[in-house]
Amino acid sequence: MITECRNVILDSIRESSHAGLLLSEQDILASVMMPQAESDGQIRESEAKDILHEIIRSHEDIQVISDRMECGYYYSTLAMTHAYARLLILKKENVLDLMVSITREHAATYARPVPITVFQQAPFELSEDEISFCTDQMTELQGYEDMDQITTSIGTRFLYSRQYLDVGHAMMLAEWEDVGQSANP
Amino acid sequence: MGLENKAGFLIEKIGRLLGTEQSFSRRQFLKVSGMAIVGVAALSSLGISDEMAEAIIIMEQAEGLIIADPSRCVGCRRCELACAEFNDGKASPTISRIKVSRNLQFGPMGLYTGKYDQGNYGNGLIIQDTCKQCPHPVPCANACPNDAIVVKPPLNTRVVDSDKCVGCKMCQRACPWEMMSFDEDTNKATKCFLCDGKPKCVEACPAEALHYVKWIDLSKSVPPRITPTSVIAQEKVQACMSCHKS
Amino acid sequence: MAKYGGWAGKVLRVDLSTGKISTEDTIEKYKDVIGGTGIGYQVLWDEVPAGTKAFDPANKIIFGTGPLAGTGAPCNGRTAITTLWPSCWPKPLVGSGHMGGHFAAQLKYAGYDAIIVEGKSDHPVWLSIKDAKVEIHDARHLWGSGIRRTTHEINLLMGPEASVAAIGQAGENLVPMSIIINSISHAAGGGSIMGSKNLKAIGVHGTGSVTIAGKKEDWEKAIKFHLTLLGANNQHVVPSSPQPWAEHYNPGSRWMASKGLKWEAAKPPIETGACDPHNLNRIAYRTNNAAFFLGNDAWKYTVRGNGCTACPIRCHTLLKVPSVSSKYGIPEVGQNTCVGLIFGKTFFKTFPDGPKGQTSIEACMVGMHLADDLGIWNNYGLLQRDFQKLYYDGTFKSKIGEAEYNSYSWDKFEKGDPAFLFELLPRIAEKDGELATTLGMGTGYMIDRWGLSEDNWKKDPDLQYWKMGHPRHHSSEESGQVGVIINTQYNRDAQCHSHTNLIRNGLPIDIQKRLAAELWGSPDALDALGAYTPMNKYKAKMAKWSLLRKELHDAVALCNWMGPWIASPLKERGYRGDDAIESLLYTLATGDKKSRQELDHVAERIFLLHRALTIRDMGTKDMRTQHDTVPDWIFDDASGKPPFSVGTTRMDKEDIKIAMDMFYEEMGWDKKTGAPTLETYRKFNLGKVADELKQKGLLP
Repeated sequence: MITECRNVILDSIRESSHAGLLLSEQDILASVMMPQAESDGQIRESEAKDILHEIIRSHEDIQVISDRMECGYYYSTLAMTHAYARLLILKKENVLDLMVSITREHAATYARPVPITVFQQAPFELSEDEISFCTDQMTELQGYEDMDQITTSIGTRFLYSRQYLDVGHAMMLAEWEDVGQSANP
Repeated sequence: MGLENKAGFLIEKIGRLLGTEQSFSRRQFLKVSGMAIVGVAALSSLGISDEMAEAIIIMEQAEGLIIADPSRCVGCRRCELACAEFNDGKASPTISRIKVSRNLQFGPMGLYTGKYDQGNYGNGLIIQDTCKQCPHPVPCANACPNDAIVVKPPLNTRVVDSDKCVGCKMCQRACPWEMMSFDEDTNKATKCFLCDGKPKCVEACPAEALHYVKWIDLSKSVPPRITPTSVIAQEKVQACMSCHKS
Repeated sequence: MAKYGGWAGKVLRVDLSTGKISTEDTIEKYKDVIGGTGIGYQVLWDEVPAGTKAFDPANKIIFGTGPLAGTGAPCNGRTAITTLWPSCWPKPLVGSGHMGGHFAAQLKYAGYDAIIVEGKSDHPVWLSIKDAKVEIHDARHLWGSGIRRTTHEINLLMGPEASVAAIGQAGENLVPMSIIINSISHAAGGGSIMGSKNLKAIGVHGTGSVTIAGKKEDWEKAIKFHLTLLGANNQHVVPSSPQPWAEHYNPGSRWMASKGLKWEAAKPPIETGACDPHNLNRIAYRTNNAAFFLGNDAWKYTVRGNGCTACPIRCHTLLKVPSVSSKYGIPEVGQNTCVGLIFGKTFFKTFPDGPKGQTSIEACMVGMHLADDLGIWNNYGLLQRDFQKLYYDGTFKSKIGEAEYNSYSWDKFEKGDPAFLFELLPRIAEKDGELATTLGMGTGYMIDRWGLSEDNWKKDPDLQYWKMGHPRHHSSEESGQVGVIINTQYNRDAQCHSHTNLIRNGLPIDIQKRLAAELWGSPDALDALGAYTPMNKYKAKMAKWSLLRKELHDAVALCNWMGPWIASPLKERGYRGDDAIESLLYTLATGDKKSRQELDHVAERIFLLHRALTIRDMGTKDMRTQHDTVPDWIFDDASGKPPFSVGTTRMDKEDIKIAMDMFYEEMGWDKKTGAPTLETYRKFNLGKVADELKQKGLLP
């Protein structure tokens, strides 16, 4: 039964990753410890945790990422990158931090401002209200002094981090992405 | 020798020659009462006499089929090229055993009917024509005067035995879906043989528009492209008559 | 002679003056230039004397494919059209246009690597190529028809599989801004050259094959490997939104596929979904250029992707917009990519419902419908930019008579009503009136005709004008000095994408720099967008490589809008592509073993021929000051930022001089004049070319 269980968990993690989802340790343990139909007995929590450790040890693709509460979430690198797993954790925890960290990351890694509409689309799927709440918070709260907004000539709003991009550069890049690129195919 | 007996004899003989009877399911043979089902390909390649083989027009059913979804086809013809290049070493939609080019611009109804509402010049829908691996009758095999279209185990695909093909093109006139191809370089007919279970066209499709599936009978569902104009040899007609008594 | 694969083996020559049809052996005569533009440049060099004008019967037009056309090598559907370019100003010089579609493959299957059309028929004709049977037919009944009608009628005669490359009314009427189109939307310039020869169309149906010289197993392996390196259109290797499988994404990527995004006009709708690069059966879902160029509303009109033979990318998006049928009386289905897709909307400054609203999409449908039937070229968008400038600055009003001016519904234009295009585009094609006739001549000749000053174009950053009547095409705005150098080299807008396919691929700048370092010796070959650094020799190497790859692709028949493939979407390869993929495919297809370096050598020979032709036909060796010029706007910045400061694409005059020096040095060209030296010509086996130039005093 243990082997069966391990295989089911492994498959579930991989399938979830394919579907773009994390599988929480909590959910895994709960499902494993549910009384199994047509089986004699139940798996104890310690056994279930052992199974999970065993999975991590023996399958390179299976990774775990923790949220702020130190809860673990499982994913398979065969179908999901660490970057995406992190994005999902941030989305679950705090959309303000999500927007800020994505924006900073884009400025630092790619030298790019981010069109705000991106946050409305999958996998962010934030509502317009959520987004404007977050952008308001960025100006009101401490710790977000680097965050800034710019608007292109056709009215598209972009976010960027002053820590990594100067305003002129961000303006130029936003205009290029929004207007320049498609006018220069 | 009656047909039933002949079939029984052949099954045994083939089984012996192959050292196995597994390629030919005895159960399936016997299920169709009063009919003999046997692989003509196997017969010919195994040296069964023509006298015996020629009257046998019932082939064991194919195991696989390529099924195409026109709504996903993007008209790139990678399937046709994979078919010809990876099997024949040359890029040639003409010999491809999956056929897209002919429907690409104006759809299967072509230009001449005034109904070309499909294809790139119509609504964009592109129909991919694939071999049905017909159950019975198998028009291309029946039409072949040399019994060069034979069953190839283990998938029981209907294939051209190029040693026997003389390039008369009778098969081309027989297939209601125009699925027989002709290679002018070799002067031989050629047809879909499912790449022995790993169809190159399916592998090549960049839009998941082709699938390799367990055989189902599409020969009654897909409208024909042409009215076949082939002549069936007298012995085969008699074989028809012996089962389909009036 | 060795038997090669890849090539069809023959070049077709059609003399429309005499009606003579003949063939030449490709290998014997053109193997050193491979195909495509290589054959085109060689024919022009050998056979079209300096001083020939674009519409003279002595000008020739060469439809060149290459050894990979018609094979299963990804992205091979290219036909290069080479001729004396009619909108090149102040005099026509060698230029080439490039069309995709299914024409190239059909030509190969018919048995030809290229068609050379020469002379001039005394009445309208069309050319029918059905394998070995080549015939010139009367086309008087087709003259005056649009491209779609012409195609239809020729297909009736040749059968539904024939590919027809036709001109519309614009080409017939010798409008320099005209195109040739096959497969609905696959266009190349040169329509008026066909028109000047009274050649309405070429229909081609081939039933033969292209032989692959290598083992079929090796060929299959090579193709599958190449497919793993592909990104989306323009070789964008990261998706446009976060995807579970992706480490990186870029909202500006053409890799648009995502869960929830559907081809909504497909029946039933199809989800593009996650397109993990390892899944080669989903490559066609990655790109949606309609959504990229027209905005997210385009998803609801998307039927599917379409494109060239053997290309899994499908950059021409097929759209179904029902409203245009009732509103404008045009078919609800249309397709195109890039500038063809946005042809209609870019005429207008504003639309009632915003820049990416329904009206802008309808304007695009109307634009495609008209331009691709009348056969009008837009000079990479300069036509539309000129149009806006000349209307809003009052030039139109001052240059054309009041009656004609008032015959246009300017209120519709100002409001952004797509119906305005029905007034303008047919008149350009028909040369109806001063305004339309002049616009159709191209920017350079328009400047002459209306007594305007080219300086105004060179100064204005919004017009994006470069030189000789044509605009920039991926220049300093995205790749600093490399883009500048590339844009100095051609006689029309530079059709080179080698550099931009790397720069815009969406990877982090440090990965791009690492890839650059591997190829050109230093990460400094490449700068981040808007963070340019002074010129260095690695940039010169990158510029040279970019140009040679463009010429190589045009010769072997690979798409330079997709290749080269130095980056890939594969994390496990460190996002590396393979810079030798052209060599692998070429060698296997033809059996002519050539390394990456050897192919680059051939590409350089081809590029040198282009240079020699330009020098010969301009009658000056002083390329540096007379030809390789740059517009003033590249040295300006609206906010006054100095060159090399962050956030500007402003270039520095002295630095560009250094850039040209370094480039000439890299090419083995004389620094003072920018003309190739005798030694360089000899190195590339072009001694005879050098001799002829020497006689004319055109060697440095």
